[in-house]
Amino acid sequence: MQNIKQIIATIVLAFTIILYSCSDFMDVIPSTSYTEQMVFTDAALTQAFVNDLYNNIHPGAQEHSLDGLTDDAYFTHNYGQKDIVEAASISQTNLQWYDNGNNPFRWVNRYRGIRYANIVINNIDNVPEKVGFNLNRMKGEAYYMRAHMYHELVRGFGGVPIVTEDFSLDQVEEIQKPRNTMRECLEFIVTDLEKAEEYLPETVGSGEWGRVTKFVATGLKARILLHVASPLYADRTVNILTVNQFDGDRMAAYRAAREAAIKVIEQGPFELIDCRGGINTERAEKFKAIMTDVQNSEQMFVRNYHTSIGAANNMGLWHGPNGYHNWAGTTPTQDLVMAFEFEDGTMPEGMTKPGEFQKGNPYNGREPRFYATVATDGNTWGRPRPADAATLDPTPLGRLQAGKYEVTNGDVEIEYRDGVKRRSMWGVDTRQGPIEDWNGSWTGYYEKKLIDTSVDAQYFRQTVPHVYMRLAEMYLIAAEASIELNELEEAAKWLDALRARIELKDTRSTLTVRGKAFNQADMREFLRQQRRAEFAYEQHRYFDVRRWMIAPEAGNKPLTGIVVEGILKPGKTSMKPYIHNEEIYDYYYYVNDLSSRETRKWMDKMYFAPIHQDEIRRNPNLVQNPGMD
Amino acid sequence: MNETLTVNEMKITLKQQYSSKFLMLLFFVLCTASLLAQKRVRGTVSDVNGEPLIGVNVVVKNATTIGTVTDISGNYSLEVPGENSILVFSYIGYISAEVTVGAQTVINQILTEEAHLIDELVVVGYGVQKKVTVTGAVASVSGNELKVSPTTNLSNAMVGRMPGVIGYQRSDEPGGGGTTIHIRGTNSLGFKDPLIVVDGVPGRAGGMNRINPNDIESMSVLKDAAAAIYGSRAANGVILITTKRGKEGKPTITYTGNMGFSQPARIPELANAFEYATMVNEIDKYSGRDPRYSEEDLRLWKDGSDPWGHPDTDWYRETIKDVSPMYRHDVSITGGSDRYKFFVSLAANGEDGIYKNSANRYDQYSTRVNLDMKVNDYMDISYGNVNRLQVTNYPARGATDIFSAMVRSKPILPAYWPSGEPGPDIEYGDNPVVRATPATGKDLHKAYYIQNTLRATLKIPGVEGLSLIGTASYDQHFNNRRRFETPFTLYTWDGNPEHKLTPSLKGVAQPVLEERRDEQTDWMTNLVASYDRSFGMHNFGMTLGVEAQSNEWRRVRATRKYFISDALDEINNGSVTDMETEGYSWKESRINYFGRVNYNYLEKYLLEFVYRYDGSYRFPKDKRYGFFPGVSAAWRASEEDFWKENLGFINYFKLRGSVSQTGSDYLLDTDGNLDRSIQYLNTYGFGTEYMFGTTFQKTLYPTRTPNPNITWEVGTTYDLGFEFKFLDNRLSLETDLFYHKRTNMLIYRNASLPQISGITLPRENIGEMENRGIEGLISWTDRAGKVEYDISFNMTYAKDKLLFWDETPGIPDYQKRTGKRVDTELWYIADGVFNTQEELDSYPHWPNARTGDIKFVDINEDGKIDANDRVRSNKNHRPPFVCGITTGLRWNNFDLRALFQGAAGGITYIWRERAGEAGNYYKFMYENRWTEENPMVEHPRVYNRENEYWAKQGTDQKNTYYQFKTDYLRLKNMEIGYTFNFPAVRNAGIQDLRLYVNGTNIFTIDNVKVQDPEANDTGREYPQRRIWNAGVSITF
Repeated sequence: MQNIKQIIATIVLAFTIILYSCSDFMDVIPSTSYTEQMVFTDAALTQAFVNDLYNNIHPGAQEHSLDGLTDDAYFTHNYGQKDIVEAASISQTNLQWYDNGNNPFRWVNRYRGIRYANIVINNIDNVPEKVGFNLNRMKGEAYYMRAHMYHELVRGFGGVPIVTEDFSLDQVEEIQKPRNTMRECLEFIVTDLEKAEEYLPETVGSGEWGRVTKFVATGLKARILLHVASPLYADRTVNILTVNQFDGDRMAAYRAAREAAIKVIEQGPFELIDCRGGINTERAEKFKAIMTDVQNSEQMFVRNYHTSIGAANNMGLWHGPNGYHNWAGTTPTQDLVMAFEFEDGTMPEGMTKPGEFQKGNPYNGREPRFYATVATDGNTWGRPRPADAATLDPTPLGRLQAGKYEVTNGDVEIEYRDGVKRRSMWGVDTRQGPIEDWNGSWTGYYEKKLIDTSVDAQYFRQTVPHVYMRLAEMYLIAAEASIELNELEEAAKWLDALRARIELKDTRSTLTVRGKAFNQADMREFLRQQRRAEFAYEQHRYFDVRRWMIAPEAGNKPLTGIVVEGILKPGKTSMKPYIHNEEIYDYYYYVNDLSSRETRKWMDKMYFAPIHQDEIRRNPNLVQNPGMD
Repeated sequence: MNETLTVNEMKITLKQQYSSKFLMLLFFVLCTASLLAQKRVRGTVSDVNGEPLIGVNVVVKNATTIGTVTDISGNYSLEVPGENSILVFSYIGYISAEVTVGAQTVINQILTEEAHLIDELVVVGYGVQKKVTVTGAVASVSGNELKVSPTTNLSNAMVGRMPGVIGYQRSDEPGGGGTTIHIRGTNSLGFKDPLIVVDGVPGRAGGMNRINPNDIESMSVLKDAAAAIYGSRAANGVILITTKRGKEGKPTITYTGNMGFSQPARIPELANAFEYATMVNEIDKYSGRDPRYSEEDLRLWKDGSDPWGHPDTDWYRETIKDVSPMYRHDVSITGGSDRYKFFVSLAANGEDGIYKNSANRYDQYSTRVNLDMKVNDYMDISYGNVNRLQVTNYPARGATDIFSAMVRSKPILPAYWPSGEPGPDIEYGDNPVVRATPATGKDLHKAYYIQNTLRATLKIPGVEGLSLIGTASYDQHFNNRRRFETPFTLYTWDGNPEHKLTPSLKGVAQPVLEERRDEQTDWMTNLVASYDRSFGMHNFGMTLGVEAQSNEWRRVRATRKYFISDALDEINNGSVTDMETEGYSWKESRINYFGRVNYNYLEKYLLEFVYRYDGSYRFPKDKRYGFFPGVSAAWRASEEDFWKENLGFINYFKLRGSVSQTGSDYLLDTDGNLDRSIQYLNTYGFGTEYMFGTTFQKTLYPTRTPNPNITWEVGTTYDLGFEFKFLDNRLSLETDLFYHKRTNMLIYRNASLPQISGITLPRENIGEMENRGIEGLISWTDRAGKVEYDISFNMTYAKDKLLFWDETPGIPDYQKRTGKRVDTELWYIADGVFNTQEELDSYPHWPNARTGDIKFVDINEDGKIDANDRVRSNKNHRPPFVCGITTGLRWNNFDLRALFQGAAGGITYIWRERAGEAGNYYKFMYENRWTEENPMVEHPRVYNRENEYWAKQGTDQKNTYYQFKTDYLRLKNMEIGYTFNFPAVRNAGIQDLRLYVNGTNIFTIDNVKVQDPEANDTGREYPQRRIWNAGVSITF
């Protein structure tokens, strides 16, 4: 009996001890996170938070980037981009790609990033100093990032609500902010960037390459000032919503933009890459390297990538040829091909309308940027074919087969444009090819500029950075602002500098060979062509066609591509495998109508992106962009 | 604690009876030569209908060596020691009877069937109750019934057997493929799963899916106030699983062996090569291109005369084998004395995937040891131990991708070339005939479970009815994964006449190995004081308890790439370049206090109160505890005199009702996995590391705006139950009306909060919903001549409705979630197709619509079709009505059991992603398609990928053309057995020998046709399987 009482007592005691000894038993802090208080009392953690801001700006061209929405490119896989270029169905209830994570001005993502930046800015002054950490730099980074995110929003939507606070859950009414005007947004962004300039260092070590610096802030200031000074925001005929109208001094904005751009050029640590030397295609390689080098003096602000860890850069997979098991995402249009001048400064002609054709290579003698940007039939891609394509293309570095070719032992009989049927084969990089034909290019071209073609992209990522900003942009900002300020000599100076590095003729003589005058109108047209050629696929064209208000022309162009036919010269024979050879083949290039893929149509509502209907419903103070309701 | 023992004692099992019968027979034979008899009695044993019972054991109590069995006419004759002898009559399925011999020489005995056993017990939370005195809604099923389904997954065997238990089985992949069980439908927007309690331990790792069905004594489902004793985690109901324990007596060994074969119950029919090519030519036509395939091509695909250039491949048939084997072996040993009892079981089971040369396979090995010791008159100690190893091999690419590849792969491409080499992939190396095999590597999962339960029960001396029960469990769970993905070779042919194929490596450039180790350590302790006592006609019971539980989980993972060979999958053999490691953990802890008080008067008026005072680590200190009470009452009206006098034909009637509150603290992430984040803390988590220069730097981001007010979801349940038994208990009926209201539901407020706040929302206690319905069980047990049979029908109808949801302000009423069922979607209403240009012009349509496109109804009549024309359906993929029919019959030595299962009111969306240029179509799309030559009223033209507005998948673009009703009725299981009980068998030392065959998913009646009506992800899921199985059960 005594024994049993002891047992009872022991059990009861044991349980009491178990339960009471852990009065904090349920205070669990997740082992993979820090409390906010920790983050803002340890500068190392604050820095980690600031690092995340870089994750919250959109890393430029991705699988479906902005280019497929312009006259530069066609996006093969649709993913909601078709509706946008066809315009009619886009509205606040059908956002398509506008509500997609690849959209750099996606509302919900950018405002989340803005909140993070706000938290840093609102708390960083209380963070104690810690050896090895630079709180000023963090502060400058936060201001820069906030400005960067607003600049993306403003370029996409027009005036947007400016939020600087970190709201709590119960501040529902305070959150319902109206849209600020373009001027207010511009002033806010410029103020943030000036603070960033104040706090950011002029340079960072190569181990910190990819961090923003003082001159990056200055560069972004130049970009946004130029943007807001542009015709769209001065317009009052199609830009009818007050918040989207800039009511400030446009010329002052142009001047400020030019001043900032010149400051970056003259005082910043960046230098244009010298691409001179060799023939056009050799210079093209040097020009392409500006984008694809892991680090060089022209890159101002980039995002770096690793072969296997972290965020991925799969540009090769996304946009490369199907004959490499790639997806041919953003493919160049015939219109873009026609936007690159010849080495002598003249513009190509005649190959713009469906049915127009040329016998013999129409791509010879172009300026270097063309070869750096567009891969055409017969071009060397840059690496051997994968095994299942190697028998079809045994060349050591792969030569694009984007056409149909007469081969003596061809498997199929194909009718050519001349009406003759010939034993033939389809190129391995076509939509009739044997490899993943649904991923072939419709336009007959492949994008090359941002792709590291030495990577086996079906398996591996590339380490090529995404370039957010490079020095050439500052030259063209300075030039454009000067043209708008009607200071044409000044403009020509900056244009010439940029053209000289790829050995193109100066502005005056180029205008002359094109039969143009050295006046504001012709200079404006020239600058716009230069900007298109220089920055193709660098996410500028979407904004340029809008701010210049050339969209009604650019957005109404019928979609066209190229059809390449290789016909054996009389008396010649050729057996598979096919290799591009102008000795034995006559090549014919036909402009191809692709309007059955996309019936492109511009509507003025497309100047400004739609805000989601639900966001308008949530916030009664928010007005929708015109035509989007 | 003795709860399980008591159950066992009450439910005398087959084995014991056979065992005693066998001994009896043996003894009888031996002893007839030397009779010492003082008195002979004889008589006939019959059932209540007067039918003689054959083979009834008749023994003398306390002298079990004296006994006999009844003959073919039910007669027996026995020498008994004297007039004080007591005869015990026992028979399988019948209540034993005892008769004192006295002066009688003829004793005729009538036995009543056990199915009506009035003292049947059910396991409830922290205790056992007599079924007649239960005041709550509790359903139960015995382990024996569950065994009928030859599945490796217990949840698959449960469905259709109990009212209120609703199951949805989406897929059936060996190693995965469990059924989602919801008690009485959907009770929350968030976590919907019931709490699983195994041998008294709530929420044990591994749940119930992999428990050996042969180890299960019983399963109870608590649906109303009965669940409230589990308070905070009981809002979705509770399933209690009790395993078998040792029985007093000579050790008996039972072996059960099963061998089965499985095949997919249903796979979609796809277009063949000719049909596919015809459709692709049509998309070319619609996009203004010349058809890519010539008439000659079509002819060759149709007549099959060119296997190299124009193959016609059925990718399912090439990838899936006709039958796949499965097996199960169980051995259990049980026995013991009055002081020590044991139950030991060993089991091995396995199944092969349905692929040819399958890389998918599941094997499981488990042991269970349950020991009970009587230390002295006051103290009992029991110990239970489970060891289980679950080995699953998956192909390096998951089932979703493999099945997706079977549907996508073009029928015009060969799975194998005529020369035998595997053909090309659709993309990413996805040729499913190779992807499903070990050629592409392996993904080996080994899950170990080690679970220990120790329990001491102490009767407090001097206080009658008071006992203390202490339980402690300590479980460990390891999950190891080794995924080795290797390159493999596929062959392409460039058309050369020599048929020389080009090999190329696919999948990955070089082998990649990932090793992952997870470990989980859980412990639980509780102490329960219980007091049960009768004072005259008043019966009183009280249970008080305290419980603490802790779970800790940790993972490390390492990956290396660039292996120079695929021969050895050892992490060190990979390159250090790009190697990766990862590790993280979580912890949960809970403390709670609970109790039950019950009272009844003559077991006629019954009253019960249960509660739990629960604490959860998920909530801030001041909101951490919640109080969850439940009250229930019952009236056994049939015990009243007036009833017996006037309503005697109703043998049993009980009216019961309850009201209770339960809670839920679970959170789900957007993928539906458990989210263990602490929402009241303002925490920063690590984000994607960012590369500056060439090195990565850590990033931190605020995981959410904290919610300092977060607290429990509260479920309030009302239940009204009726239980009837008619016609001498042969017909019984049980029905419950229920209403569950969930308040404080933890949901995001993202629909109304403007996104410019940038806030990442926490969960807030803002949602409200209700779920109401009826469930019932009706069963009939009888015999007709020599055939004994039973049939029972159970059903549940549960309709949930959202009462408060964070609606976006100003959305049209027909799009609101409020007032609709949970998890509904917006649909464009399809109204046939546009057949003529005039039709198209005269009705609002999508921009760029053409003839052959689906017509969407302009719901808001604003003259345009846009997102505002979508209507919220009040249906989802979870059917509100489910039912089951179980039936059994016995005739001589034959027995048969069957389970039908059905559902109604659910819908699914069946659509082919990437069909056209990048994938095949379903055959029904070929057979029902609009063409200019053959316009259809209802069916659209052929589409390519997602290019048409009416052929998109995303949640915002669905239309009702692709909506299918999933009502179905299926013969889920059927088993036919034969028991050998001839003397010859017994003489061989075998007490019991039974052979049986059974089948699963034997047939299904439904209107979906394309895929299984329970599947929900079109063409990408591992299908449910049809299984044929034969087995033997032998007891020594």
